[in-house]
Amino acid sequence: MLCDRTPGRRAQRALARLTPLLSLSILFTSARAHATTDAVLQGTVYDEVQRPIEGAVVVLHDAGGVTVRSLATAKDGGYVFHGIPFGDYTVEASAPDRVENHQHVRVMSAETQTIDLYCLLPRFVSHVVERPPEVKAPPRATGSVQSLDRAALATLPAGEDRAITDVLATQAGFVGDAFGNVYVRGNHANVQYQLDGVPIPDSVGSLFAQALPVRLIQNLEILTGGMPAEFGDRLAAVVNVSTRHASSTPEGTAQVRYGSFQTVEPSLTYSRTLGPVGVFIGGSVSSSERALDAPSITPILHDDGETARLFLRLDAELTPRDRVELFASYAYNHFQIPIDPTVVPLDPAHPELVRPVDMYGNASAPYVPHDTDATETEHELFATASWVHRISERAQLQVAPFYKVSYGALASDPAHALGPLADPGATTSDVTRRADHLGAVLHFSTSVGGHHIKAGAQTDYLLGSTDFALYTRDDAARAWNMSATTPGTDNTSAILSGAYLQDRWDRGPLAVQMGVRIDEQHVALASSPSSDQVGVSPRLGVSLAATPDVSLHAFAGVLWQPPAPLDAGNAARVLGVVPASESVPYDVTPETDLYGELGVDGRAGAHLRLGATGWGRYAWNQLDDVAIGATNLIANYNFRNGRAVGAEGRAELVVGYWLSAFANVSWEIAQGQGIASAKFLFTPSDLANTAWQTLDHAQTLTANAGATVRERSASFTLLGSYGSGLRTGAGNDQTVPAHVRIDATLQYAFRDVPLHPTVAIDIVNLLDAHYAFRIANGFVGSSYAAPRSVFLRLVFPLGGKS
Amino acid sequence: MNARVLAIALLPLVASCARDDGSPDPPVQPLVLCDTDAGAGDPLACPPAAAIDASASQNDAAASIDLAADASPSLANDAGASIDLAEGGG
Repeated sequence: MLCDRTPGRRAQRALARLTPLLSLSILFTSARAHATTDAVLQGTVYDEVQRPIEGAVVVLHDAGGVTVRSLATAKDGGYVFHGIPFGDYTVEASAPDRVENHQHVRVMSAETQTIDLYCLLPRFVSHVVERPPEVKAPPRATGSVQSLDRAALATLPAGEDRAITDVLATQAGFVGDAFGNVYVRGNHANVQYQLDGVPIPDSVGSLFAQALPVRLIQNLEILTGGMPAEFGDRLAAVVNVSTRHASSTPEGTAQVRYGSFQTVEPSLTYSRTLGPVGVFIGGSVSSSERALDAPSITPILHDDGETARLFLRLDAELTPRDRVELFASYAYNHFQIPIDPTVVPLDPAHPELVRPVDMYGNASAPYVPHDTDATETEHELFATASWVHRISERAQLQVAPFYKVSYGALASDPAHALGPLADPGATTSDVTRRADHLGAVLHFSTSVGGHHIKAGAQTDYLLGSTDFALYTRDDAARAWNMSATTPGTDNTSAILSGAYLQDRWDRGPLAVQMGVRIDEQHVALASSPSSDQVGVSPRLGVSLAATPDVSLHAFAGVLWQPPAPLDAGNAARVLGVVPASESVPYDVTPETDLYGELGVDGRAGAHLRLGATGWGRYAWNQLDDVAIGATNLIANYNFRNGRAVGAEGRAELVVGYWLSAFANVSWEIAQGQGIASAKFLFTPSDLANTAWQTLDHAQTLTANAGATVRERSASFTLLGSYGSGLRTGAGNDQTVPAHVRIDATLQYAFRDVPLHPTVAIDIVNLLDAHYAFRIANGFVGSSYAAPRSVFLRLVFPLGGKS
Repeated sequence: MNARVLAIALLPLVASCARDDGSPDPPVQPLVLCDTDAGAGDPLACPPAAAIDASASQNDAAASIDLAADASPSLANDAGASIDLAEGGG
């Protein structure tokens, strides 16, 4: 909401004279890159005839009303807030004997906002006008940046119980897949999540669930292209999270969700300040009879699951120049591995009968006896401490060590999986993986004239081990052959290090973002010689504010992405394709992309914002992933070359308080040519194929649209998505059928009854569309989306406000 | 207030849209005759005789195939029952 004081007639005349100047000042609003989760907000406080006011008090409040910082304006009336996290703010100015003024503003990490405020004498203020919300001005970033705030997340179906990957899948450039996987602009995986500037290392069980809870998010910034040099290694997208923190009054929510598939999910968040320390805690547990995307829509066999999430955030301002933050989160998942009920066992009495191929030419998945109790259990603990020191008003330093332990255990239940009805020659595997990450990031930023310079370094030491046991079947006994078990252990250690230097130079409506980074990955495997790989990535981006409401950007640069080394050797062992007496070759190499994009983003009036981006890349040693049999192992391999091109269109509509809506459409082609590494994973015909082939995670056309209507205590949100289908067929030459899915949620806050509950009804897949994410090339063969599902949420506010 | 009335009015609609599991989706894939001309690696290729489980009796096999191929919702939803019966025959 924007609150304006309408000046009296004399002041109106004065302001009318100033209109060109005001326009110019908006035109010259700069857009400067700064720290990953730090932004710059600056401006000048004027009187009614645009004389700067010295000594005016400017206070910065966050979206929760908490005072972030305050200062007095300088002699020229200017103020600068450096080093603030990106997000939504209210900046408020007051001066003696004058009427206070304030504005609401969204600041992104890739820009500096300039907000000028007018504090008028009371006689120039005739009345106060409450201006309804308007669509945000386009960002002046040099790449593709989209943002969401907590309020927008709360109105989505499932609210804060929605997985973060489901949120991302609604954004331009993203393609959703089974198990919550998302792919961005033709890349497989490689999405970097960052919490308050600290990158979260990979998980061993990332196939199944992204552990980052949405209820932790205050603001979300999603970069899908044109990343500045401060970002490295995983560059399909960067998901920047600014976490919630304690407000001045205790607050929180207690919630329970119940619905289809016996889903139950109680959750709690609470925050308050204890002296100088802000405390924010939260957590949830859930259980469901449909935990993973199963190989059939109905019936669903063996698909129960439980999850738990806990997090704690402490922050304190130790001195006016020193801020520390401690963050810890724990995630637990336990899933049954779903069974495909459409596959029948072979008939030993009729060996001439075999399983059919499907309409796409795919071979059938093997038969899994229905009493097989295969499960996956995951534990994940992440902790970080961040210290931000303001060296001066224009320079700051952030140091953040982090630790993460990730554990995943796949238990295949060989006694049943290899039982009487199992296929002759069947095998199955238990796989237990543990990965310890220890690392740190360091960011230094300073402003010199129109230059915002940032430099930093990061390192991540990985110590990983995988225990596996390969079980085979005794076909004569029609049972598990216990004596033929092949156990093994693979140990991997790796150090990934990087350093960068970047400069964002703003001159009037033009901004130039230039930078370079260098990365090195050292991989040590017990079974093969160590590997050292180095990449240098220069990047250049330009942003031009063609008018105050239209921003153009262009970017060209090199992206270097190292492979994930953890499962490099395991795939060969589990599949038994490399004899136990031989070492597994590690020949996977980093991907190097030449990437470019062009974009335009503009506001058409106060209510509508439109944008379009075209992008393309050519890759050397393009990385892709392959799932290893019926395990959750993901092994990297390289195509010799890769290429991808795409275009995206976006629209956002805000009409007062009652309506907000968005739409986006993405078109993409992504291909690879010639398998160049980890060749033991492939058949001779795969290796002989040197033609360009479309990648199995590329979806040609994806569209999303959503609208939220609010009326006092009620809101209704409708979300629709269209996908033309991921690839299937033996050569990835066909697509699964296209789908349309619509989700809806209705919420009402009962403010006049005890406990003030909010009741929400979520309907997922309202039209009961039956569609597949994957057919015959997923972790469990095929994966289908859930049919229509209904959930009820009860939310009770705790403390002062919810 | 209007929204509250709307919410209450929508409740029966919401309750009625909870999906009742019906017939299997996608359908069960019955076995087909192998292709004697198919080459190695072709999913329709006939299996070598050595791969056949010679110990299984014809009655066992018939029981397991009949049950697994029976895609009626009640049986398909009770996977444990179908397995118990198939194994019991052996």
